[in-house]
Amino acid sequence: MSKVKYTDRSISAKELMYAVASMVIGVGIFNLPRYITTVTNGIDGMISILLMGGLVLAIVWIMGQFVRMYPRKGIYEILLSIIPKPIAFLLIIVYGSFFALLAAYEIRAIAEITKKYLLPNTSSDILSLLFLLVTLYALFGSRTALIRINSMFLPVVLIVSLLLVVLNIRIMHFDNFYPLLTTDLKGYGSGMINIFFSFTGISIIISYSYLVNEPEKASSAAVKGVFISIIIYAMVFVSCVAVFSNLGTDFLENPTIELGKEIELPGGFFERFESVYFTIWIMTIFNTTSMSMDSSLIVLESLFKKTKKETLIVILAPIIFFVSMVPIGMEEMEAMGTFIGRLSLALTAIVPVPLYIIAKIRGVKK
Amino acid sequence: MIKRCYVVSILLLSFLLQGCGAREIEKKAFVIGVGIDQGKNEDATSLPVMNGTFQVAVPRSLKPEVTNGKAYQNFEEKGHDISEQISKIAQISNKELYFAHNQIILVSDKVAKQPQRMERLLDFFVRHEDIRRSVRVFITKGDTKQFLNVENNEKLPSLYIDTLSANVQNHSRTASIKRLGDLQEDLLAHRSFVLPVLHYKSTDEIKLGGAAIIKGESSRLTHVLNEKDTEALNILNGEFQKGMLLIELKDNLYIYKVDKSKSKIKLQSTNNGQLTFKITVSLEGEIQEVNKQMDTRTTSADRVKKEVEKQLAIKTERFINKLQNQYKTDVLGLGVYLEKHHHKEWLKLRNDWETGENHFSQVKINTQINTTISSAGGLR
Repeated sequence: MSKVKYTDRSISAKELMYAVASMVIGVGIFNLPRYITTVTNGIDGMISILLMGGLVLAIVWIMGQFVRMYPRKGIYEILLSIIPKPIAFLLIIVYGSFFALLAAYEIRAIAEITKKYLLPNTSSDILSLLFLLVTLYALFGSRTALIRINSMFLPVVLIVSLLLVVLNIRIMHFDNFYPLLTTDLKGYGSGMINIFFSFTGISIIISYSYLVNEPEKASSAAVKGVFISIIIYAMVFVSCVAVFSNLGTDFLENPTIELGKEIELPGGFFERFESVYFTIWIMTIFNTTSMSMDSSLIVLESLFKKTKKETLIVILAPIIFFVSMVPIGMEEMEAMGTFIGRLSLALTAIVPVPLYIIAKIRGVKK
Repeated sequence: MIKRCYVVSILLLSFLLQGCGAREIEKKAFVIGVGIDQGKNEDATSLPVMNGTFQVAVPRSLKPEVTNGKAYQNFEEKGHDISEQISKIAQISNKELYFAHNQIILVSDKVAKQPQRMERLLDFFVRHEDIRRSVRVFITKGDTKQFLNVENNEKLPSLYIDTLSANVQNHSRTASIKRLGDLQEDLLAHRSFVLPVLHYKSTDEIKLGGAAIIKGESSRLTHVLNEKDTEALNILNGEFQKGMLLIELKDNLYIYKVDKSKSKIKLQSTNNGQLTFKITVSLEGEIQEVNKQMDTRTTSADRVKKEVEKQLAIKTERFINKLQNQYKTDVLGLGVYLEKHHHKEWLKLRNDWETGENHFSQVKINTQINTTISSAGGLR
């Protein structure tokens, strides 16, 4: 293991894979099973997961192909070379605000959940602020380090997710999977849309593409990363239905956390598995938050080339904190989540695919 | 290799990151059992008043060197629901009730007999973030208060009831233990189900036996099965593990002990709207004891097996008859089976399954019982 390798300012395709997987898995996973079971029967939601997963994989592949045409170029440069400046400017602003909004949402959501399950007496404002400060610490450092931390955290998250399923096998009722295929088409469709929020993170492929030192491998790496998250989602969904039944999952606010609560191991220390499990989920949410804030920062940097990164962070952080405090009550939180999901759907539908086609037709300007 | 070491060390380190958080242990009163009784209405509201008993462990008295002094304290308070009772207890108790280690919930039969009362009261336990879905729920004959005062070699009454439910070996005369989570799923789906019943015997004894039928449509206790019927129900539901059967054969008494029990429901035919179900029960067990003269030989296992099957058939048939005609409640899971495996038929029947036209009473149920005798112990 050479230390010199780590001083370079680019990331390998493998690191992109870890980053994409960590980015995609965020707070969405806590409610994901409920979003699916409300519109489907039995285990039918698997079809929605697989269809949406396949669609997302295809989009991600196209994104990878798209950024490959512009190696080592930032997102703004890419946009400028394809579309007229005013539109590109507008689009990049939307992109930047989208990532800032996502970071704000993650911060707020993790604060609310921490308050609910771990620290009931601490105000969620303070929790948000503390989480933001830790994120800022990561942002002030090097960008490649921020991405590489994923390769350290993701394996732990994967192990814990696997444990979550394995340790619950004892109380699973596989009979809960039935009845099969009784959902109507509309149910599958809305299931797919509901799942999309959990794939919001895929947009970072575009913002981080300029760092990848093997652009030809970016596509497959990103696809692998998303694939990992699809597997985790499917695993969690299936276990929730097996443990709580479809109807039971539908009535739980955060089925995935409840799944962690169900585990009981002998011996006092591990009896409460959910606190271990919770700590580790905070790690992946830290990754998601820091990377989405960083993506927002990348946008700002491309707009204000002369300003120092640190200055931009100091400007951005209070805005994000303020935005994260805007929704009041759980209804508004839910609305914010839905809004981000829809915005992300619109952005992924508008930006990568049509732009890729335009770029293909017009050819890459040198 | 080094990479793997990193992963392992991070995993171990992250375990250290957890902890008890901000919950100061000395400021909490650990609730280990809850009992819900019917209270008397004193104010003008029409809402029924409940009497909640919250058993709190007193860790100081649990130490072996402390011989006198109760290891528990029961807080009792009246209120329309659990939260109201807790808020009233806060005026008495110097510590906050903490439910994360709650083991059992007792519901008195009087409460359970009121339509929907139980499901309304259980909402608190399912909703609360600290409470586990693995809490066990029991129906008590009589007030729960007396059950939570039973003291014997176990210093904590709640722990006694909890361990009592774990010791269901050598008999199958009680409904299988129900977790709160499973209970909620059944209540949500409006299914009929059974809960184990506790009987108060004396100041230091509680008996576990029988099954309380909770009807799905009104979610209330309708009947309490006696131990014989509970056995038959367990046989039909495939929950007869550790069950025992006494068989008389040629003036001798044979005891057949079951190790494995399985059951399978199948829809045989749907001719002219007449549904015919077949329940196949497979039991595997051994001859545990033969009450006979020492010098006589044990009857062939085949003979015992046939007798067991015959007697089981009579037992289960009688029970099914009772269930269909007297109780009119589907605790056999036929409705659930239809819902899961014959969804289209179920949609037609579900509104009148246990009520109205009562399709459950009209279906034909055939049983087939297969038993295996794997051993007859050390004697021939």
